[in-house]
Amino acid sequence: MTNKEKFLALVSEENTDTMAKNKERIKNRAMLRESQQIALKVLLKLDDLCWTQKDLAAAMGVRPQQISKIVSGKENLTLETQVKLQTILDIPLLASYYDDKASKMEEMILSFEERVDKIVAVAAYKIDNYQKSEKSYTKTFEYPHLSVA
Amino acid sequence: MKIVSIFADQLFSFRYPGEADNEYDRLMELWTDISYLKDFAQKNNIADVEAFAKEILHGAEQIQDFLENINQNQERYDFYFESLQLSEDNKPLAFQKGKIKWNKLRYYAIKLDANCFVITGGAIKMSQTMQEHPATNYELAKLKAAKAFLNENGVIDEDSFYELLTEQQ
Repeated sequence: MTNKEKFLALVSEENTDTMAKNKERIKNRAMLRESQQIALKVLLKLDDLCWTQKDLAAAMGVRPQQISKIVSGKENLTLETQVKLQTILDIPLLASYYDDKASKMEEMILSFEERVDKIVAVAAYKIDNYQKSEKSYTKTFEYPHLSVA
Repeated sequence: MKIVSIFADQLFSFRYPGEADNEYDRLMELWTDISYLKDFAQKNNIADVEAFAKEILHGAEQIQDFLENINQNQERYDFYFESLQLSEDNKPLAFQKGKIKWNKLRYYAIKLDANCFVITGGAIKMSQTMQEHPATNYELAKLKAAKAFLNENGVIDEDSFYELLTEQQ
């Protein structure tokens, strides 16, 4: 019996699916990268908030095991889960995060513009009133005899 | 202790009692687990957790590609498994040059013949020598135990221990 034969005799009969799993990881790489990014954002945000994974599970109304899966970065997360994470943790996961922020910003700009318009209108009114009163005062001051007459 | 075949009669891995997976799969699952990477970074006082996790994930993808390529192209494993240098004085030339950035992820293996390796474990390498960090020191003990197991069963390994060494791209 050669050394290699002795070694092969020690090898278990059971088949591993390591090569198939490896291929699967490569095939799903783009999805896994997204899932990993989300897991990282969630974990860092939990630290910022001093929240445990149990706290997040309670806030999302799911079991803690579901959170363990999410933060492993291996899950193909549904849109529903992503929306919940985004809303509860206020972290950017979906395009809607920036769309919502952009429309809120737009609303702020509009309300700011309205306020500026009002201020400008009030200022214009006051200036107008002031100029009118100044004219009548000037007239009175320059030509007192006319007013008297 | 079980030995399972990963690829034909060239690449094998130990599967230890109580573990559901062989060492290649167990470690690949761990190195792509964000929760594990974050805990590892914090325990090792790594300030930038995000950068560390990204580096490790990139390294894991490189190893996945390596395994796929090597099998697609029928390349020899001994081209990628480097003899493990246990002391700092005896480190490979590439380390001495200090120009090549190595992947932090290491699989450790015993060489049976020119193109036959059995993986005994692996680690995120955080120190120059294996003895300096508890995780790699533990892997060194696993290598020695695996070698003893093979020897007890009449299998003589070719020479010293090996590590899968891929360059960080």
